[in-house]
Amino acid sequence: MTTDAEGAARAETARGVWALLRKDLRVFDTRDAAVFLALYVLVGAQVARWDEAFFWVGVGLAGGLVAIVPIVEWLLEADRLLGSLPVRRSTIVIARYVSAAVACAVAAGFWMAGGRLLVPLLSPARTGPAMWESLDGVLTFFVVTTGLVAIFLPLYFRLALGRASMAFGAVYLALCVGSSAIARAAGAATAPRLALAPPSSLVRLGVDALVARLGAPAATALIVAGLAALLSFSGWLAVKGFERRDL
Amino acid sequence: MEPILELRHVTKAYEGFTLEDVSFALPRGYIMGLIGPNGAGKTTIVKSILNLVRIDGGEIRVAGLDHRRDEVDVRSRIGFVHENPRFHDALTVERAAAVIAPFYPTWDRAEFGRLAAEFGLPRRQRVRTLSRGQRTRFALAVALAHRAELLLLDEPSSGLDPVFRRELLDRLSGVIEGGHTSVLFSTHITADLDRIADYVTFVRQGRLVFSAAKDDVRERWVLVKGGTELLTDEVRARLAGIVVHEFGFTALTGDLAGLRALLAGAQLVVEPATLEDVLFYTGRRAHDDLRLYDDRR
Repeated sequence: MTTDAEGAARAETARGVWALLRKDLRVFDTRDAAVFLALYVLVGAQVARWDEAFFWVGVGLAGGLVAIVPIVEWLLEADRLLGSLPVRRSTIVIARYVSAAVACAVAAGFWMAGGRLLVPLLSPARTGPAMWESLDGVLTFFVVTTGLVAIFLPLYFRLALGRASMAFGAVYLALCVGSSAIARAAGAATAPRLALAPPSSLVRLGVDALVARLGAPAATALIVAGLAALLSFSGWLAVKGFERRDL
Repeated sequence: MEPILELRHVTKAYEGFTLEDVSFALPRGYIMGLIGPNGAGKTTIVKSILNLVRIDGGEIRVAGLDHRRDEVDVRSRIGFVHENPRFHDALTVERAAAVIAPFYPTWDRAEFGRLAAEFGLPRRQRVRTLSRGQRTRFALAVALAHRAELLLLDEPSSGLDPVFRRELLDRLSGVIEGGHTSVLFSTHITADLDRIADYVTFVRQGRLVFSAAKDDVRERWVLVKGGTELLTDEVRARLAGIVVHEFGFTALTGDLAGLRALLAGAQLVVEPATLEDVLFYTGRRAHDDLRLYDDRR
């Protein structure tokens, strides 16, 4: 049972999150959306025949959509404006995670739709099941995007975009080196020593194993619950970091 | 009546700067000028009130509410006008206001429209194309449209042309007339405060020098001029910021009666001090005379 004060606090948070999301939608205007779409089609078309690269273009789109409003507000030095609005810092963090989740879902939609539309057009000779058409492929997409969001946002809220980007870059590089090493150790002799991106096949192997062991519904539920827990922990870190930051 | 703003023993330490034990209160319906040289801690105080920076100690209350525990309620009562107001530049004035409006339950759309028209804000123009003065007008319109009880202005008049500066000051005088709104106005342009402030709070190097009604400040501090032979240690102890020139000295004192008693019979010229005089003379180190001539010639 919730007390009146808790109910009021929840209503206040919900109102704040909604106002922040509306702000993001207004800041991210149709021109930005058109630029993103054009870039996605252009780059996606170049790499449509390689699943791995096309996957990472989709992840890149998710990253772009997650970061666009923080980038705009960082360039405008709008931190102080945001901080002076009548919302708690935790509300700002929640809103950013909600918009990141929406961004990842939208990017997944573009990745899957792009795979169905672009790839047959540009690479008609390809055979075999496509990653974007399988459950484990889609789950892999969400595991990777959620993982990157869970790393990036606490850094962003604690350090602000400039320093957070550098820190995230270092973490990303470590992931590339580390996952390449793991891939080589696991017997993938062709895996490069330093990949441009951590091989998604590693994540996919894990997802595949889980689906094979538990079955698709249970594995999906477990992965979704795991991602929710990861985001909750990441969000908690982000709130703690943001509350300590002077704006 | 409860003050609209009260700071009690507020401290905040940065590397190389500490805001130390700052306490003052602003009664409702008045304008307080927060003055001090650059780097004195004015912006830190304003940011602390908004909880943009976390204070290390002390307490800040706005309309009786704790600025941290009740931060949403506190911020919804505050209108903030920054030295260089930042908004989402790609949006039009109207849309930028529409972005901010949902955050304030008390937002009055009609009032914003009326203020925008009164301030001559082109509502369909993009924020990035507004001049500095127009941005300040926009920030003020936003602050007033949500019926803020406390306006926090951080150096809003620096860099503005004299015509708009005067207009802004007149506007602030008008804002407090109903008694609903109070203003804390941080500036280093003391002429602005001579015109509109009811109270003056002076900070220097992170410390509070005084916080008092402007009239009390004017009554308390006076400029004294006399010959340098009068500058004994006892006299110096009652003076601030001694300036020595060829024909004598000029200094500020807050203890004219004590000085007169000490210098009975001596020729001493006394003049009223402006806020700028107070800022200038008290802003200098004690026992460190400013010599405006070379006495070795």
